[in-house]
Amino acid sequence: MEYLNTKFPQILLQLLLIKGPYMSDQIFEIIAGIAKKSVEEIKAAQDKEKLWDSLLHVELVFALEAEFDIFFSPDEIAKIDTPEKVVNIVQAKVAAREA
Amino acid sequence: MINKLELQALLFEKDTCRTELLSYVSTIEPSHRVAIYRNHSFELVENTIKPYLDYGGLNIDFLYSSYDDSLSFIELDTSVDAVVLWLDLSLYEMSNLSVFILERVKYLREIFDRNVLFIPCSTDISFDTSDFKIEQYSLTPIQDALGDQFFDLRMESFSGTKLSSKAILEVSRDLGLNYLPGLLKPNLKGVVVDLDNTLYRGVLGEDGVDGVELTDGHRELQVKLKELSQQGFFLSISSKNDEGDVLRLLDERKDFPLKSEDFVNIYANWESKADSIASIAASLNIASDSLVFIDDNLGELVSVLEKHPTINVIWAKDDALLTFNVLSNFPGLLKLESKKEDSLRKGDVLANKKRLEIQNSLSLESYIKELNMELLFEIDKLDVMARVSELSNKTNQFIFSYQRYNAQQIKNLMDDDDSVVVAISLADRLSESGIIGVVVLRQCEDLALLEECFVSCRALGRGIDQAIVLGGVSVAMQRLELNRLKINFSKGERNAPAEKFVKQHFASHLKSDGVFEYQIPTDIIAVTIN
Repeated sequence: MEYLNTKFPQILLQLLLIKGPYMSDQIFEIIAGIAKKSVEEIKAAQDKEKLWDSLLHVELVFALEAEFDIFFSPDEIAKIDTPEKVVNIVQAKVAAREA
Repeated sequence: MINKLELQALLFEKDTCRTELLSYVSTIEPSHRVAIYRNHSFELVENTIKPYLDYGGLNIDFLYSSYDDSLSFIELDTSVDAVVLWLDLSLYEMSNLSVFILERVKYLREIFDRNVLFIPCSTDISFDTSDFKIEQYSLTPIQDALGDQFFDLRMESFSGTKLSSKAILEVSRDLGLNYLPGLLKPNLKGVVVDLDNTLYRGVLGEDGVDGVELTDGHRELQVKLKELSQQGFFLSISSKNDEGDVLRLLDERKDFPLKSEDFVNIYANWESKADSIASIAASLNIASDSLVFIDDNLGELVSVLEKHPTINVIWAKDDALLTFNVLSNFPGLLKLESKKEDSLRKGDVLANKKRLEIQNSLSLESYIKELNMELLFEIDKLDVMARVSELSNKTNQFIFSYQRYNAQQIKNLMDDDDSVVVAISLADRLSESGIIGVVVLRQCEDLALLEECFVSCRALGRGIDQAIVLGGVSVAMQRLELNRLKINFSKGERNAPAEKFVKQHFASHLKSDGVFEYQIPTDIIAVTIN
């Protein structure tokens, strides 16, 4: 019981923060800030490429790494070319770190 | 005028992240054009440099060359104000690299006669440039500080440079605050410093020569000021203190790095600091925009900025290491060897004129409104009697009659129906100062006798001195239901500021029949009476 009372809610909270809408919204806000577009525009074009240029791509990597304390490999940096891919990879990396 | 101080907070007092710097929008019209002649990316440095440049009054258009290892300079626009040679030397595979670079720099000098800043990356080379005046900037100190975080080879194919985000940010900061202002603008000429809670912790008039504290941060700050003095910057004091006390302090405190001979002017008096600074500038025969004024009192900074809108200011902090950091990176204090004073261009003069217009448009009233000042007047509140007593015994300068109450005496005054004790607290959006002043009134027949009034020096000079003192008296008189006032004032050794206030401000609110009238300007200050 004690485990349920203390650890269980914490795990739920972590899952909510990592997988839930809070974290993806946070990522959309970062992308929007870097790409100088509205969050709505970014959300509406989640699977679209070329929403930001190569220089902003570097800024996006810097911002995400600093915000979530994660580290992208060169392959991952090359792959995150849509908002959707950014969200998926960041969530996966944070979840892996928390596991 | 608040912008300069907010920018100081953004750049020095917070752990500002890259994203915040990226989103900063410059408030200055473009003033200079700088060509970046490079073989690796500089764009990421430019992305975060704007707030740093703004702090020094610069807005630079950067013009980029292609990546040109050959240093042909064919694309170079020679009408720019400066050229930055931004070269990753690891991209060259030649044994006589120094000779090659030196030859190309000599050629550059033949076609371009203004400022050149050479920034080698990966390998630090330097050579004697005295014949052809170029500045060299070494990345080695940043590399030493960051260690293995200086490079980020993983990002190189994306960013176009080996430098890591941390290294790029440090370069951006150093170029923006120090090197580019040093290259493009005339140096400042002098530094004017306040004393109390700026050069040391404490108030000289209250704590005495031996009572003020030299913290480690204040020592660093004094050493830096001494260095600047030795480099030829004129060091002056503008302080509301007794001159004799100040001279004794500088003479007797052997632990102070700064001595009286380090200063070319010592203005310790009760006049406005704006006037003292005008005298300092006149005595040095320079304009006040060549000075940087350091003070811990926001009100003093704003008052000085009102009279000298283009003066540079540093808001000294309780943690003097912060003040030291700001001063050590303050634009215009880095002296470059190849500096040409005539590089100040017409555009700069026009930009200064524009700045003056903007700054003049903000009045003292707008400043007070902008700070959301709040005054709290607490009447006969027993829970503040200890602080009231403490302040009455500590205050030496803004005090009317040196009553020096103990806590029991304060309690008696609060309990007595014929007397009233008003404790005044001040807060604004930047800080909460707590109880900063006290007014004590006693009924004498049909008169209210202002038995005592004292205000902490920390709170004075913020533009609301009248609201604090006259407001406190007004609140106390309403409580006693009296409208005629008599002031009890005893001249002492150090209370000249209080005497000056009584002469200047009570006269206009006290009629010949003794009736006192004052309205707190509640349209600009929030007031609560408890």
